[in-house]
Amino acid sequence: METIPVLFSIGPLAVTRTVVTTWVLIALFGIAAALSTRRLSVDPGPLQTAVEGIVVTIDEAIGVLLPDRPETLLPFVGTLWLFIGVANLSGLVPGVAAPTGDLSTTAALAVLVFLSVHWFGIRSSGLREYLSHYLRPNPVMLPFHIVSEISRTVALAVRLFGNVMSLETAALLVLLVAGLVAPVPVLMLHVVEAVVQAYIFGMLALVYITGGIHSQRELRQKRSGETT
Amino acid sequence: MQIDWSTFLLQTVNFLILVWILRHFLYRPVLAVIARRRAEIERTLAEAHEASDKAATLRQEYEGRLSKWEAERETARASLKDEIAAERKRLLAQAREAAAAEQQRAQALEEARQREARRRAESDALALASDFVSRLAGRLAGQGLDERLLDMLLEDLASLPSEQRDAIREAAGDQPVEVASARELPASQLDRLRQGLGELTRTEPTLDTKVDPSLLSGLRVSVGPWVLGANLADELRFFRNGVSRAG
Repeated sequence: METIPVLFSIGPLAVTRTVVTTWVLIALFGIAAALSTRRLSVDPGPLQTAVEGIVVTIDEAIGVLLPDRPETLLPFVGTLWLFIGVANLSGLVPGVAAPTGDLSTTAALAVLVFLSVHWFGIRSSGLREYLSHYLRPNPVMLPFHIVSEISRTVALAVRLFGNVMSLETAALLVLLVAGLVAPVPVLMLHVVEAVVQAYIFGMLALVYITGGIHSQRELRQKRSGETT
Repeated sequence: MQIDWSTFLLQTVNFLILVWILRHFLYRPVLAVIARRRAEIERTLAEAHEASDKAATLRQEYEGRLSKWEAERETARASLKDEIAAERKRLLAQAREAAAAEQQRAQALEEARQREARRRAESDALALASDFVSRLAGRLAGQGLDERLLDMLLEDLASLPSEQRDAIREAAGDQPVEVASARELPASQLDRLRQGLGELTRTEPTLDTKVDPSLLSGLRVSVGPWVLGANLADELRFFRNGVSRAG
């Protein structure tokens, strides 16, 4: 398996091309966000309308699953969607490798999703209450819960990595075999796949997080129903 | 397919930094402006609702006022209609009265005109009759008629009431008695006249005689202011005047 070359090191940390590409994307995101929200007005122009459209679409998608406070998850889930989508599409730029084609990136994102599920779950219902749901309906279920958490996190990371990497590889192979005749349909497929994968990753993360929050709420509601 | 832990760690940090950046530079400002717009829209909607309610109230007031005005207008119209009917009735009565008065005036004028025409016709007839009688009497006049008229004068003088006789006597005094006759009176007739006048005045009167053919026949005696007529001209004039006055 091909290893990603290290460009330079910061102390013990080796900086690869993936990290540098991510920094560039972060810088571009920062500049774009700062520029697009510099002069926000109640009466929006075309650019502001587009930006608001993106944010509102994400907010409403979150609101479907978490209607009472969608803005709580907006920064994390929205950033997942935007970053993964742009990172996937960055592979289309000649000489640039998509950061999501690196398993380290997708693993980092998957671990962050794993941690955020517990973070939002604990914020929603408290540490003791949250951890107790692993013992329900029976403490025997604890290993299965743990395996489920780990497996879905791994699946999350591997799915994104596998799809992006395979798509890039396939595109490369098609380019090698078919020359310049096939690239346009392949690139179109790449765009669709990039967007779809970003959507799937973000939506799964959203489902996991809201699932954790809702399961605690339902439990609390059930308990309050029993006491009354 | 292997995980580079440095990359893993850096990408984790990178993503958290990106979350922070987008949260502070994208989501928060955009959500804030959206919230501001929603508040603005809600405020505008509230104002619109308030304006709508106010408009509905004003409309109800206006409709109420309109119906009130309509009722007042109907009342005023009915009142005006009654006034117009009364005024028409009054004017018609006034016109009828004016027409009746005009008719009466025209009738009076017509009657007056007819009376005047009749009077003129009568006057003309009298004048004609007088002329006819004058012409006829003038042709029939003569000594005999003069004699007869003298007799009539003397009879009249004798039959005068005492008051008139006294008044004539006082008026006569010493003045001569003027005697006008249609023809020269013969001496016998003059004597008879002098005798008759002397009995009236109880004096010997002096007669101042003259001939006046316009008398047609007979004579006219003037004693001071008194005129004693016994001639055809005076009789005809008396007749004509008397008929005129009677008419």
